[in-house]
Amino acid sequence: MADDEIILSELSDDELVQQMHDDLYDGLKEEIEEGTQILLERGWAPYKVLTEALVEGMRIVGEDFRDGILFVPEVLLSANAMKAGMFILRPLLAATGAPKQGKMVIGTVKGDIHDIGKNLVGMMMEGAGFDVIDLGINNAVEKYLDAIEQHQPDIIGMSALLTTTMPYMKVVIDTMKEKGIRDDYVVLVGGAPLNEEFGKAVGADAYCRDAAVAVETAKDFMKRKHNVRA
Amino acid sequence: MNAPAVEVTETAHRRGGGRLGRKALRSVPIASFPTLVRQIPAYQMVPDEAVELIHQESLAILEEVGCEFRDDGAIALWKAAGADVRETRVRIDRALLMELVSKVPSEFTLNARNPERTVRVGGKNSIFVPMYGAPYVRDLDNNRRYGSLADLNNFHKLAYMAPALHSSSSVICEPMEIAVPKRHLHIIHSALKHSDKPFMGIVTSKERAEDTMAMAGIVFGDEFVRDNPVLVAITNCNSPLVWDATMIDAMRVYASHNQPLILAPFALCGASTSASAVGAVAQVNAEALAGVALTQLIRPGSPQIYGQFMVTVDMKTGAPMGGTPEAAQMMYLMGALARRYKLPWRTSGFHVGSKLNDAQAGYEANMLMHAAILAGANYIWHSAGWLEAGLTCGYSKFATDCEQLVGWYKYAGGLPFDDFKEAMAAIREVGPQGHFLGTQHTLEHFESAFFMPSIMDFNSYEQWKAEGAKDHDTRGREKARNMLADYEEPKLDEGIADGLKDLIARREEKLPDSVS
Repeated sequence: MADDEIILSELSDDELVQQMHDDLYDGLKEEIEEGTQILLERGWAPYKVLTEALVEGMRIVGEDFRDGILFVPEVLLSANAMKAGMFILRPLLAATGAPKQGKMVIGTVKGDIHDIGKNLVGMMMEGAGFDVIDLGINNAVEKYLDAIEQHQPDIIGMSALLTTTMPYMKVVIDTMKEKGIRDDYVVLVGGAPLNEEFGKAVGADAYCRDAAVAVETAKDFMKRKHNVRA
Repeated sequence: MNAPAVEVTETAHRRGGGRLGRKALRSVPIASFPTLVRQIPAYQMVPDEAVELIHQESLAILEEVGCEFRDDGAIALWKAAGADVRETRVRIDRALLMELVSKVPSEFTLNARNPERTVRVGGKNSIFVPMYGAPYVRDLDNNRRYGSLADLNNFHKLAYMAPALHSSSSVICEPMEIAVPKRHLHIIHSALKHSDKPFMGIVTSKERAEDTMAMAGIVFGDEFVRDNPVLVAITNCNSPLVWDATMIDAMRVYASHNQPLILAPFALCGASTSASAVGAVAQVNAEALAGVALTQLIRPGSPQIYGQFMVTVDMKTGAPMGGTPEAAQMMYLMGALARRYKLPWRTSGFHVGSKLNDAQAGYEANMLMHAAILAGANYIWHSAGWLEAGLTCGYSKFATDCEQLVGWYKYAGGLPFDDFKEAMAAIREVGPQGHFLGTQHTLEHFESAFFMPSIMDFNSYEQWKAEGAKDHDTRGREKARNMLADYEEPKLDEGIADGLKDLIARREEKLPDSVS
């Protein structure tokens, strides 16, 4: 590849954004950091950098992941590059009052220590520009409540691999109801033994069959939320 | 993220051209795999004494009962060699037999018209070859009907595209609309035109074998095909203990050109052999060795393939079965005998009795291929398409078999240790908890570490349902259809292409339109 010849700062805005899409696709963290800085220096609003360069780039990654062209380790690399760009943008976004991509608290429920799926969802969500607070494994209801209070997320994500631990999701949601806070949050659930019916039965907003679907679903809910507020 | 998840290791820093670059990279057609060099030991199912016992019994059969050779030329050769000949019955002394068998090279090179597709057969070298001889096809719309030239073209295209197939076979399905006396010309032409891999010769008559050699001569040069293997042809002993004139005619044409034959008794065990797995092997071994020995009277030192086609018969109906445990066990015995004789040997991989590309087909195919691989077979035939005891070639089955062959190629290739150190480093990098998806080792190896089939479905239930809840048979047909849409014909020199057409036209003028 003649890639070393590309000097990001010499590209026009359009070319640079295109190049950043490619660099996100190729999982190039430093190039994404550099591209993000250049756009900011050229006077782009942080929100415009986020949506046009980063989020759009990750949309392409997500599409090709869904279509079996990209593999998990590659998507992970892309998400990591995205995260690096987000790290630069986050304080600026907050300062300019730009609409937020969203914040998610995620963890496996009490009794369950299987976290590969949960970790994947967390990374994909970050790749899509979300703030992710990962509670790790084996979370009792109090852990979720504390995190909600502390972080004020938009979305709560719970996962389980075992049929014996998945009913605990209902305990968390029921407790949220008792406290009168259930409807303030979107609750997404996932894990191998779950299905749509189970998700509904425990009172979740949606069951997400895989990490890509989780991201799509989360984005969807955020869009609706923005629309309600608009 | 404050999780115990691992950070992604910095990987080799390189621009890959983004989406377009990756798509281009992943859509590059995979070149054919080279000869499979087996890196796992051959498994011997019985002790050496048992192999020796069967060997001795086979020799005794040929000495005491003898074998029929229904061909004057063959009888003359046996008489001249000093065998005990009474009319067409030939009793072969063990010393003479083993002396002739020992002349066969243990390995040979099988040349393809594209030198990159040339393969090696024998010893640790194995090749996968698609099926042969089906009158019916199960087509892309899942109908069972007679095969046509268009179907045969399609199967040759698929064989060309399948990385783990090392040959295009020849009559994968019969082009039934073409008159029998002219059919062979179009079969060989299709194989040579649509693929550049090694192929198989026609054996149904002397002149058809000669036409095959003439066509091979146009492609490879007449001089070259006099001494260098460019095709493999199948001759079957009619069990029990008969080599007939048609097969011996073909044997003479090919062996005299140094073209390897498969000497394979067609045994319906229980009907054309005794109803005993070991008894059947002793008989089939005698038949195969007698055939091998005759080729060495025709051309000493010519490469040959010791072979077997052994299926058990269903005692409820008399019909041949496919992937049964006994068929697998007999393969292990034949493999042990072949190694004893230092002969390249043929068996069949994916031949099944099932009508559909269904669970039965999968179980049968797996039973046999596992045995073929572990028994150390060199020419693993009927490795794509075979259904219904060979009556039908299925598009879905063909595509499925090709995909599975990629897995078996890998399996037989052994376990690589070259990245073991890096894998151990990754364990230290990740430690307890977390995951390996972002480590340097994973990023470098994920594409090749594990078998990645596309017809087999490992998606979530919901994803599978969203994609139409298709069963394997349906997905296999779709795969075959997509492969055919992507097919590009390999280059063939114009002079050669014209030469083949001329020869076909010349021969068609002379050949009758019906068998009489």
